[in-house]
Amino acid sequence: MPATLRLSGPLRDFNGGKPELQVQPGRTIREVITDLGIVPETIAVVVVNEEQQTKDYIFQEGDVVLVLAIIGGG
Amino acid sequence: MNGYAGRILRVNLTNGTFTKEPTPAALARDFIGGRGFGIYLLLKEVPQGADPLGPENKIFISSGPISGMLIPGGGKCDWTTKAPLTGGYASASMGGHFTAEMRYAGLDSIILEGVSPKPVTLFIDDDKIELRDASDLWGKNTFMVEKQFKDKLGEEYQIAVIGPGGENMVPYACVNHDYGRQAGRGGVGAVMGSKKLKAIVLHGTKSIPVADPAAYRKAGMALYKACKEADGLKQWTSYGTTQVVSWCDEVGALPTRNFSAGSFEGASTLSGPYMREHIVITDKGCFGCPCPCGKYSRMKKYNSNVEGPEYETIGLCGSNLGIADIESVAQANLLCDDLGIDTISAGNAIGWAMECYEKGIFTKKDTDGLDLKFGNVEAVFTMIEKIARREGLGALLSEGVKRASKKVGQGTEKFAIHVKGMEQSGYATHNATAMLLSYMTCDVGAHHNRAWAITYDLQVGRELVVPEKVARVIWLQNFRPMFDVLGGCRLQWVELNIDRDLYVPALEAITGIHRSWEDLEMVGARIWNLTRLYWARENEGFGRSWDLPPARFYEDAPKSGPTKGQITKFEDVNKLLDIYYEQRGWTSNGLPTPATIESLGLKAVFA
Amino acid sequence: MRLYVDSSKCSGCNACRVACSLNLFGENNPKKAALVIEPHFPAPGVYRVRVCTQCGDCAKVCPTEAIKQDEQGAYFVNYADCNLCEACVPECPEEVMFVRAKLADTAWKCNLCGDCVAVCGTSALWIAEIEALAA
Ligand code: SF4
Ligand code: SF4
Repeated sequence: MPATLRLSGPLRDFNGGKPELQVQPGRTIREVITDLGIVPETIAVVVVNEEQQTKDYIFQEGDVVLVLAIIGGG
Repeated sequence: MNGYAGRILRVNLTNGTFTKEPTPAALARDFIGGRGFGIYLLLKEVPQGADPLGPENKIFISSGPISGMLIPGGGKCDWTTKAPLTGGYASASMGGHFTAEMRYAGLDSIILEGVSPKPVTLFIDDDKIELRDASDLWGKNTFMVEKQFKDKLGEEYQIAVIGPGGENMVPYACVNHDYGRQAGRGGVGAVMGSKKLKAIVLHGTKSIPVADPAAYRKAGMALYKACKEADGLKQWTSYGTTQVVSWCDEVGALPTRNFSAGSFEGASTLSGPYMREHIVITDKGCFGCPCPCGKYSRMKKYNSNVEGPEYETIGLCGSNLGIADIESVAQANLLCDDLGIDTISAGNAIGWAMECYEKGIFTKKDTDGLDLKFGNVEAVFTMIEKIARREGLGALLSEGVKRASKKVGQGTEKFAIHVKGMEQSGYATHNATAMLLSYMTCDVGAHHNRAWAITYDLQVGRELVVPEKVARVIWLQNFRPMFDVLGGCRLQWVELNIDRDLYVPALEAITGIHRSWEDLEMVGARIWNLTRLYWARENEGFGRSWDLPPARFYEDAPKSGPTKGQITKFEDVNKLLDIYYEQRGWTSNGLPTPATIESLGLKAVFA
Repeated sequence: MRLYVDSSKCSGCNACRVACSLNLFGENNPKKAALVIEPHFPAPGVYRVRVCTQCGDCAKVCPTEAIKQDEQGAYFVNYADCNLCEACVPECPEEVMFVRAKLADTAWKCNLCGDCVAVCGTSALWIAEIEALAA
């Protein structure tokens, strides 16, 4: 079963405007978002199944991963 | 007038008189509210060359058309004045419930002018307006005074109060409200202190008229729905602004030891999740906010409570002072709030003094015997108190780092981290050119909230100096402060990423006037140019040199962390300004050209 | 049905009260709302929210029978029948029955419209069947 990557607001521009994509388990969040063209440093927060994780977390089956960027700023 | 309470209250403190003037329709049309009203009134009413702490200066407190309405975050209040800290424009945004209450009392703005012969409180209950003797409150800390009023008058009353910092006219004294919200930056509290106005106590029971109630309800509900469905809501509500601590540390933006680096070895115990787990007891928000960023904390070690610390305070009073203990940072936050001084300027100034001490420029003779090393918590607490009371070394630091470093000399100006005399807020800007430019050109001094462009730096390349980056900064500067004009909070857009077009029908239903974001951004550009003209009017020789960043960011690269060895070349600093001035339609010395003034329709305002 | 609240989630924003006044009176005025947010600061640092439990005690004492029950089980004030006698106010165990003659020509209370629930960002409020009282 693939995992789900959910992109917050402006990050959707890197996924053709769509909020979600399916990801095969086994790779890190950093690798997957880099492939989309997102610079990993712009990601402030990663939430895996409702818990905060680092970008080096490896996708597991069925995970729901949310990445948040603060494009407009604090 | 729909969307407006309809009156501006003018309080003359010198002779204790009040007048209520109708809110001019043309003012509402051209400047909308909030800081738009503020800059217009400041230019018109405060004479050129006025002493910021003298009787000629005024304070303009303004709500906006979304304040007190069913709009997420409609709880922001603008405080505009001539800044004692910088001698230029100050506009501080205060959250909480004050701005809504002002409108329920029938007021869009309050103008404070003159100087009272003795300490007073401005008391407003709907149409009853009085100045009451406050001699017994003078000298007291903010929380005690607020509590005293609430106990006596009830929770429906909203209170804005200054502490000893304001009374002693510390140039970065703040105004406190709702036990933890401030009009923080630029020294509004000092101006209030100079007027001998201890507090404003406010209660209102009126309704705010809207153009189309049904459409208003619908548009308001749609905004709340969007916020509640936003992906980031849970995360943001749990951590508020502290959610960026770890990230700033990761990318080298966390101010560390007087901005000598952007990454701190103790960041993990300052992080949002750590703080939540160890000290947060309640989420506390502003009026109308669906995503409360305020984290109310309990410090067991000190047997005290505080709203915060939020990111800026963690940066400036934590990592910037070499402190990794979150409870101590929270306690420093409490001391600053209670004494009524801005945590950002205070933390920055103490960081500068600590660097002076570690470099041997200050000895214990200068520090009143304190061992002012980075990381010394007790010394920080003592310094905060001394700053608010202007005692010993505190008297020097209370001047702000620009004036203090000028007095001390010996190269300390090079690590005085400010722009235009305002201490830089919580982002280290080593090799982050868009963010650096934001600070350089911000209209109150080195404050982050007008344009926050650091993720843009990271996405397109930190060191790049290209027109697109500058354009991004300008767009943010025109757009983001519009929330301060409308009387609301920008974080629902920034953090929850809600569609900003949802505000358009809401604003139309409230005021009856359709305004697109394009139109609103144009108002933003007009205000931006007016603030620039104000700086130039008040300061002989104002221009490009005032926009230069602290030398640290082009001469003194960090020795550790992700930005180790990285700075912006001075020629790139100048290139940033060249492109910025050109895109703004300003001269190469950074002043709006006559053509720009004309094209923005500002000739009539700035005659 | 009735309104429930988990006060520990409340952040004191008062959006619920604005929505409430808009529903009850078509006005933008939280002083005319039928629920109360009590801040307790600086200590202990919590909010307490008071909401109507639809117990009906107010209706029992109303001399003009202005307080009626609708099909959801919600008691509401028929504004035209209220004579501002204030008999209902002290009866309310939650202190959310209001008469403020300066503000409105009638008593008011929660009519279970649900708008407060819709705007509460922290999900502190919800509407559910009335639970049977624990013995
Ligand atoms: S996000 Fe924070 S600052 Fe903005 S309205 Fe909500 S509580 Fe206030
Ligand atoms: S809307 Fe929710 S969070 Fe806001 S005051 Fe009401 S109950 Fe509290």
